[in-house]
Amino acid sequence: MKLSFVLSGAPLSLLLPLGLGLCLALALLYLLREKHRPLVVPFVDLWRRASEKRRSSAPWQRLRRLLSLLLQLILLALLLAALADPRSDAAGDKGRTVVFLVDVSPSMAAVVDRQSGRTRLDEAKRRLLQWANALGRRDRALILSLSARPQVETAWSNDRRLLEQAITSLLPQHSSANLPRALRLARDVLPPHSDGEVILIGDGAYPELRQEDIAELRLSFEPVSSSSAAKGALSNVGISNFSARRYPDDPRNFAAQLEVSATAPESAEVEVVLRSIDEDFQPAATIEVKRALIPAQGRLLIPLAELSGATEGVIAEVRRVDGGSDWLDADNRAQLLLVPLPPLRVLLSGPPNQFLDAALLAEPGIETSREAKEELPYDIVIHDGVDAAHQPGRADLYLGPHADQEFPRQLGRQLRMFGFDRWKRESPLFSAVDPYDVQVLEGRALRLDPGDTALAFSGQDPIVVMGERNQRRFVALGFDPRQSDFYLRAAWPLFLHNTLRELAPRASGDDGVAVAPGRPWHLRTPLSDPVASVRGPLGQVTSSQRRVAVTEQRTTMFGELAGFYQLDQGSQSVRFFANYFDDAEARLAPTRELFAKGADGKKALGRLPSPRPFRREHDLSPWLVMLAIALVLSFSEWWTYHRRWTV
Amino acid sequence: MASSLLSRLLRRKGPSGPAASAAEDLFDQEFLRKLESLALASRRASAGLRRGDRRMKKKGSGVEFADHKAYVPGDDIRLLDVGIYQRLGKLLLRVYEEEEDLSLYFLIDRSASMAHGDKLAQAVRLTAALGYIGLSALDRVSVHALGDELYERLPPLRGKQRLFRLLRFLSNLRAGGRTDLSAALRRFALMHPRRGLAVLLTDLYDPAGFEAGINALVHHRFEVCVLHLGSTLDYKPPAHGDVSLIDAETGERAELTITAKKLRELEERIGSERLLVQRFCARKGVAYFSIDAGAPFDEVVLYLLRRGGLLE
Repeated sequence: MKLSFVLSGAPLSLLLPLGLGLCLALALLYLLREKHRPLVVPFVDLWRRASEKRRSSAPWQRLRRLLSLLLQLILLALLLAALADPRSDAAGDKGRTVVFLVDVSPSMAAVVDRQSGRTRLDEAKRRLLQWANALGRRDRALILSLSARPQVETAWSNDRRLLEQAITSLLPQHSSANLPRALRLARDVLPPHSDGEVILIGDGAYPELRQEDIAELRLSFEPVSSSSAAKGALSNVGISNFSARRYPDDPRNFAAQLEVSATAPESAEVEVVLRSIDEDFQPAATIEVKRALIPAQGRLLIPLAELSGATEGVIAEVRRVDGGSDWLDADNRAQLLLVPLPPLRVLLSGPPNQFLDAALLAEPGIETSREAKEELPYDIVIHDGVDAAHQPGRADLYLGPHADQEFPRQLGRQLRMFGFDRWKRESPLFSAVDPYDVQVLEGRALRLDPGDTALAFSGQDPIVVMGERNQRRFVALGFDPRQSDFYLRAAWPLFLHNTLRELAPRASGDDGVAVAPGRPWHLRTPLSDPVASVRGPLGQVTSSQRRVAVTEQRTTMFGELAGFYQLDQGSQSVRFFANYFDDAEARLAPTRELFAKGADGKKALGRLPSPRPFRREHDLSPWLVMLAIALVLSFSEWWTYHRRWTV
Repeated sequence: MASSLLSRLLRRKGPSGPAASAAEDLFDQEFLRKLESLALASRRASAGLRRGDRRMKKKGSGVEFADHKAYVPGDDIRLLDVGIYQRLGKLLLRVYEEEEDLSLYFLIDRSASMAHGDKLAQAVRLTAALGYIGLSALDRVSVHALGDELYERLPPLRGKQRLFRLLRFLSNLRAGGRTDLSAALRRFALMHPRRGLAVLLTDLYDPAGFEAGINALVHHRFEVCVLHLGSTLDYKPPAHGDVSLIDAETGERAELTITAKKLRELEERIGSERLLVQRFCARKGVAYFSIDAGAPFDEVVLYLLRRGGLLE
């Protein structure tokens, strides 16, 4: 075998003069070493007689000295050669250019060894590490992670440490593998005319490949699932939908709805556990535990009503309790955030009124105040017999006309000893309220403006009117309730409750912003700053933080892990969550063989080949060998010098 | 007593300048105190002897009969033993012991090699100590500095009051020059017909070999005592690795790599050479002492007094 070397270290133009100079210096030093130190002794003959035996080998002594010089010259030559860094220039060995396409889809989190807890991804990483260690000097590799959005994990390199670092940091994602997209990316990253190859490492649970997917690619497949994995692959249960909402009238309570789907060929009994989360987004108190039987290959909607105990959010977990297999863990957990309902802020304008205060106390989620604060926009201003039109607010409730003020409408004639003769029963204000028996001592009839609605009448005179002035809705009573027995009746707090809800309808109590892993996340930011940071998934070891660009208070980002997230922008923050709902992944069976089909999707193109084995090279660098030899020689020289073998 | 005497002498008569300072450094109060204690120890070793008792026995014209010897023409016929001739008919001469004062010759090798490891300083200290003991015993003490020939010479002294001169002489000795023990000792022997105890203080680092010099002394009937000075620096130099060895005396060079193993070999070599010297001395009837230059001189002197019988 012909071996040739190329010098990849210091150039010969530098090494040759350097070597020549050092040789001369070495010879000079050697001659200097030959010049012995003078030592005055009393009687040289004594020494001479003592060394008579040794002097008999003087020629050999001279030879030893030459040997010593020769050793040092060899030492110098080796060091210079090491500096030149010669490398093998084996003809035709251009090395391999390999894209390692590593499946990190949720199915790769399936456990292949129950005892050790080793997953398919762990197995894939183990093989990758083996290959990375077997890469030759001329080989180069790049790692792509295969999920919904394939990503380049490393640059082209044959640095084992770099590759190992990237390999060990691979984590299973919560988005299904998009193999065609990953192959397009691999085709793009392969250098032109490089004769590169793509090695797919995964469980084979992908949609069928088509001819155009693998065109112009030398694709090989390394399966990591066992042959028995395919049998139990379809036996899976998982959460396919999860939602919850607060009750608008009682924000402390909420209802949840869970959809569990099963890909198992038989029905599966599952246990659903609903837990609240603590401030670290870790599962905290158990709120509900429920068992259900999921039909084979079917779905089941599990309503969970009248739940309480969660302030921030809830986590739902499902597991089989019938002993059946459930190979995919990623879809066994879902989470959501419960949006906190803001309190209804009410400004009371008027003298103290125990009847009004008592009725408001019974209202849930209400915050009352008698002093207006400009920074707090009030939902409703209650004008209790006085004019407070200048108070900030979004709606008004007028309890009785003011003597000097006709706002919001013209007052009609004076009324005495009257009651509710007619009222609009369909109006939300009179929901569950029957004011017929209410007796009023005195009041004023109300005049309607266009757009106003009379809700109750005494005779023909409107006494309860609802309308809108200056973009503020209002409800006005033509009498002061204190001039009636309305306060004493059970209908009063109901009427007040209905009126408040009508004037300031509460939010529906929907759950927070939800996103889906593997798809773009479009988020609205609280501020218009150009940058925001997103942390998450919160409460998990895989949590990370990244900065995102914001345009017109909107940002779009991409994530592939389910969990809770928080977007921070200045002092404001928005929380959202991502759930993995994709039972299509669970329905794909792992396989040890991948086939590609023709453009029509019918003609099989054949099985994807296995990757060529990597030849482990004993690439002990020549410069290292030379340095080692030089060190050994140096040590020998030192050893023999001190024993006067080479001197 | 000697210390106070010496102190007075040094203060009164001593020269000023570096030489005096060196003398004070070499022979400080502590040294003199030890010297006095050594003199006391030597007196205890030769208790009962008076002046003139420490004599060198020499056969000659004394009054105490010593032996007979055969007559050879030229002998003094007055010494013929008539009684023997009458009884045995043989001509024998009476030989009488002739007693004379003991002459102590300290022969200090002051070549450049003695400067290494304080060998010269140790030699000077030992000479001072032994000389003081000799002076105390009314011996004739003289000192000669050797190299490749005879250099400085201190004429014979007698009596403790001459200690100052001895010390002054010793303190002025400086190492330098080459070693040629053969020539120096031969010359010494020729210059000194008065036999006596020749104490040779040297490291014996002589390229030509030390044997001829000692042989010359022995040949001229000197009682010879070799104090072989050595130092750990001789075989443990303050350097390792590749060195160029330079001989301190000759300037000769030799390149060598010093290793621990080589140092061990050198130490073994020095040990074996000392053994050879010791055997040579024993063969020649020469007293031999191997002395470490770093050892306390008083302990060395006591050792010499007790083990060597140097001053008996």
